[in-house]
Amino acid sequence: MNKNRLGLLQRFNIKRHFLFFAIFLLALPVVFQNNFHFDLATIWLLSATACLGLNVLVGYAGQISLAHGAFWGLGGYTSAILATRYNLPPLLCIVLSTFFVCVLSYVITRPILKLRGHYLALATLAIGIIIYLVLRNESDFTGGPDGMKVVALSVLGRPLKNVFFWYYLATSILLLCMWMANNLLASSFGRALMSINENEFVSFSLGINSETMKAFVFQFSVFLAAFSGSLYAFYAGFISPSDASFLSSLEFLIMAVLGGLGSLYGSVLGAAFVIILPQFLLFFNEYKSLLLGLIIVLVMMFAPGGMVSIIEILFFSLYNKIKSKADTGADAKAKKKHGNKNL
Amino acid sequence: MDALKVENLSKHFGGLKAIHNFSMTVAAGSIHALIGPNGAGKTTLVNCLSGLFFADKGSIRFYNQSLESLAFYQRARLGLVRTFQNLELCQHLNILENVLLGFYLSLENSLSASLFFSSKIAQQEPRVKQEALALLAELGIADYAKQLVTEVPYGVLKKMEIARILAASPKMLLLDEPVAGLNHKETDDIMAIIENLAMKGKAVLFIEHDMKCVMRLAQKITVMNFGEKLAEGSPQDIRQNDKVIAAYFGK
Repeated sequence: MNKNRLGLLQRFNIKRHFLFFAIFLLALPVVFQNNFHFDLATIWLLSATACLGLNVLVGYAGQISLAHGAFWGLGGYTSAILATRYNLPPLLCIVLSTFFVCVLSYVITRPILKLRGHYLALATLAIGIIIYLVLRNESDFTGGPDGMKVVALSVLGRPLKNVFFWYYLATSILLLCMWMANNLLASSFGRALMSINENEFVSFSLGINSETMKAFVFQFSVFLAAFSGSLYAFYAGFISPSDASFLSSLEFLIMAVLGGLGSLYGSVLGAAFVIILPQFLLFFNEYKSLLLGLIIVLVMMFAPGGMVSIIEILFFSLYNKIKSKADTGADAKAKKKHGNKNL
Repeated sequence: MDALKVENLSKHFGGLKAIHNFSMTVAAGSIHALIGPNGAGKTTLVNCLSGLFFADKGSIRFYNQSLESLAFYQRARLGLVRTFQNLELCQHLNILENVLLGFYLSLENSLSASLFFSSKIAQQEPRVKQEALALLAELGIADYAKQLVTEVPYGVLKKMEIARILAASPKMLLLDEPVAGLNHKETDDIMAIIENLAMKGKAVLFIEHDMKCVMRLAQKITVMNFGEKLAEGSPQDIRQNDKVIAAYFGK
């Protein structure tokens, strides 16, 4: 197939379709009918931003993390606590909380990034659960299992609750982060990152310090998770420990894997799948989770590359069809011309 | 001047003395061959030199810099690079991208510059692509640049591996069986490449079982057996050395 001719870097370079994608997102509110649609879309975009970081980490650098839900929740909680209990301006809270989570995650994950494969997954799982337990049990700060209310995001004392504002804020953040992630992956840094995933001997033998590299990319993904988590807390106006639970971490991983590991669009698709699809399944009441699980299993069975690979295959088969038609057309023309010359 | 000076190097795996009190020097700009029967410790030696293993004892000096405490990637940064006996590839990258990896050290790699696509990054990518293509052309495999490593012949991959480490502009190359499994034409190509490297002043230490290749290329040969040095000298000396003949063919 055509895509096999491309290396990993070009295959997932998003530049070509990025403009279309941006226009699509900007124009999407046209089809929204009520605030619920806006709400869903905003949560989708914020989750996609967090998932984007995770996808870079898992899909490109090959380092698994089962703690990103916890970092997302911790970002949200830190913002919430700073804004609600200490009355700091929300924008400052977002900056401080993102910074705090990044520093904390650096300190605790630097030693465990030496681990590989299942061991790394297990260690990050433990970190995620510790964060969850702390958030649930420190009721004086976090409100305990019941969660806590969060003040609305406000700029210069004016609260921002407009659905359009939130949708476009989330869109612009997602687009900006996709652009940054794409730059990262298209650079020498990105190539080195992929070599760590592909074959660490190669990266070592070429002078690439894989440990620092892994730490950098882990921080990048934690940054995105914490940042979008803080925004989410302000957006939802409420945060509970379940946002930082293991299930939440798992959801992010499902988004990344289901959407398509090693594809930036895959994160967006996967997030849409996990956030929006359950709403369509509400009709099935208690069978909702069962059905969702079934769909996940089916996608993984028939398209291990994730949903983005399904689209890719469809796109490429269509492209080849058009191309072959065009080719035969051109051939016929050439023949005609040739024939004419002979005459 | 000595590019590499190894003194009393030992590496034991449990009771097995893979390398025992081994010393050798490789002169700058020379081609040095390392031969010996299977299990003699040749690859272990290269692993110790390149930093994949840490030696138990002994000293390694590379252009008068001590290497013992340096990690694999740090030694590569000093200009001591290696290839592997079994091809080590990045399967999902194409040939060109594999070679581009080699340029890592000479490029701007900071996280912030990469994230925001700084002007330096924007300029370096096309430039480095040109350089990589030139390198591929020099080794005669430019036609394969856009193909995945899983789709090209073994000989091309062997050349690609050399191109990849040449991209890192090394001072010394450790080649582990560079012509193993290649046909005559490919062997000749690789030999020409190695000769060319030495003429450019790079030191080459290579392990090889193909005696024709060793005798033609090497200026100096070190023979290993059971982790120790059996003999050392010019190809002429080695060819007539009784100990070497005994080690290879039995008494």
